Amino acid sequence: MHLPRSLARLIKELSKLPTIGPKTAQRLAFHIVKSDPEKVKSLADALLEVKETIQYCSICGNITDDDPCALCSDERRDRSVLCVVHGAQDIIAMEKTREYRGLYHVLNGAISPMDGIGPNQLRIKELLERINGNNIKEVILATDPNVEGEATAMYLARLLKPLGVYVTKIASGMPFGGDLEYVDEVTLSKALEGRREL
Amino acid sequence: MLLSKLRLERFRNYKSASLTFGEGLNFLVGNNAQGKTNLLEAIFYLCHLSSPRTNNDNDLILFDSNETRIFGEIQTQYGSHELEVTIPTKGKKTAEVDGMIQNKHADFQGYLICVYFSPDDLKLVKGGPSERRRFMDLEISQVNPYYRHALSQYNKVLLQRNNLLKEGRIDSNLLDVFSEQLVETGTLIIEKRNSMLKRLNLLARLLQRRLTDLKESLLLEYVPSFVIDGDIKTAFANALKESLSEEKYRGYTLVGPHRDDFSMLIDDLDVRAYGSQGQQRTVVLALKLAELEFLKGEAGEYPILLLDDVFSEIDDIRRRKLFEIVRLNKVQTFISTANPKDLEDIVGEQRKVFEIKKGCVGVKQDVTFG
Repeated sequence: MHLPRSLARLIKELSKLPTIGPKTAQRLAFHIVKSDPEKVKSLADALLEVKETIQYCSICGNITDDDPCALCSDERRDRSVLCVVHGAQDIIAMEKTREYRGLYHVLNGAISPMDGIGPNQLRIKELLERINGNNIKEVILATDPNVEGEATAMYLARLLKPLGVYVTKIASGMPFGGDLEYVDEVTLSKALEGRREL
Repeated sequence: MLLSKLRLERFRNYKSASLTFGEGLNFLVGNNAQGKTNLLEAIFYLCHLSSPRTNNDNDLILFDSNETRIFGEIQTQYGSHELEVTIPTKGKKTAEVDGMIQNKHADFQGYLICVYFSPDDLKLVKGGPSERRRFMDLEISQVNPYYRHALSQYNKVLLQRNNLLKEGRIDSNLLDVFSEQLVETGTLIIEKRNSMLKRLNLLARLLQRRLTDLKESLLLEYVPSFVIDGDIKTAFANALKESLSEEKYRGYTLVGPHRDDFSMLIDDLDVRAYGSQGQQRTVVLALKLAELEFLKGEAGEYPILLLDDVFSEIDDIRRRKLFEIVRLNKVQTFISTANPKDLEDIVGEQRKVFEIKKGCVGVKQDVTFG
């Protein structure tokens, strides 16, 4: 079927986005064709603006409008604790807890030699520089519970411990508020491994 | 454990077929390329949600159809159940138990358990170590889902470590991390394989003696890729340290469960190197029957037994012994054969005979002897 050139281009661009397949891309494109010009313009402006104004915080690596980011410049936060995460989206998850009051450090990924990602590709040098001379007492490693995340955490622990900081890793185990019988066997086995005395 | 009914729709060369099985021996008789193995494959699929012959589920669907269905009625110690699998050409297959869709395949897999024996299994003795590792891994995974997870973790760590070893300048801290992870997951795998093999050894030893009128005693032993002297974890870690320079030179990991094997000895001689053809076949049969007993120990009742064209592989005496064992333990058995003569020397057995011709099934006899 022949599509107008501009529509075909839009569909092609949309389908490059993650989780968007060709069908969804087509549906979105037709929706845009039918929408009010103001709404489309507002969407296009938002796309451009996010690219122009969003930058990375020079301290923690979080995405931000201003450098340093709101978290790093917040005086009320505990400056002696750092939480190390893979990406900026992990900060959003941690912040939802409202439990953590320290600062963050974004690594920008996990160690994976098969993908060509080694320590030099991650923001590890920046992490070490931050710890030297900033009076940081504890580093919490909040890496993903998979092979690459575990390897990253273990590697960091080796580098950080000689610096005299207290290094911890978040626990893995049972989800809260669920029923034991519905938990998958791998999670349950992990939880059993990490059981605690009451 | 019994499979009382099997119904197929658009499966391989079957447009539709409906079979009611007997509790004892079920013979599937027919010339080559008529669909005997396809029936056993469908039964296997109800157990494992995978085929023993292909990794591509689309191969199972009748030509020019858009989906296939396998339906089975089973009786277990916990009651009767209806199993149903639907495999579409596009999209995901669904597995149902008593009309309820099972989202996790592991929840479906435990209902019907089988031991499958085909001429290919001779590779267990004749083939390389990877065949025997696969055998151990499959057996343990059937009864221990966590093992399957540990195995996939181990393979990921191994892949990462091998990639790191291929790099020009290796960060020794990072290599230590992957070595540590390898030891952690690998130790668990070795421990599980070891304990499984110890039990299998007792069973296989007994069965080999029975199959050979007490003449031969079989010994199965786990053969790790490094010397285990006491603690597995320490030994593994030390072995990795020792082979480090060689590993850096070759660019891959040289020790660990991915290089392990198990040996089969009869009277101190390696069956692989010194066993006769007949001896090797008997050992495979003993291994398969040991598998049957192993799974019985884990599941609490006997699995069903699928014998795909293996009559040509074993002599009359072993065949008779095999039927003795099957009858004694009331194991429901499915046997495919191209040679109707095979049936003649089996007397005193409860048997049912199906004639398979071009994807059609006819019941030829439904006889109970003595």
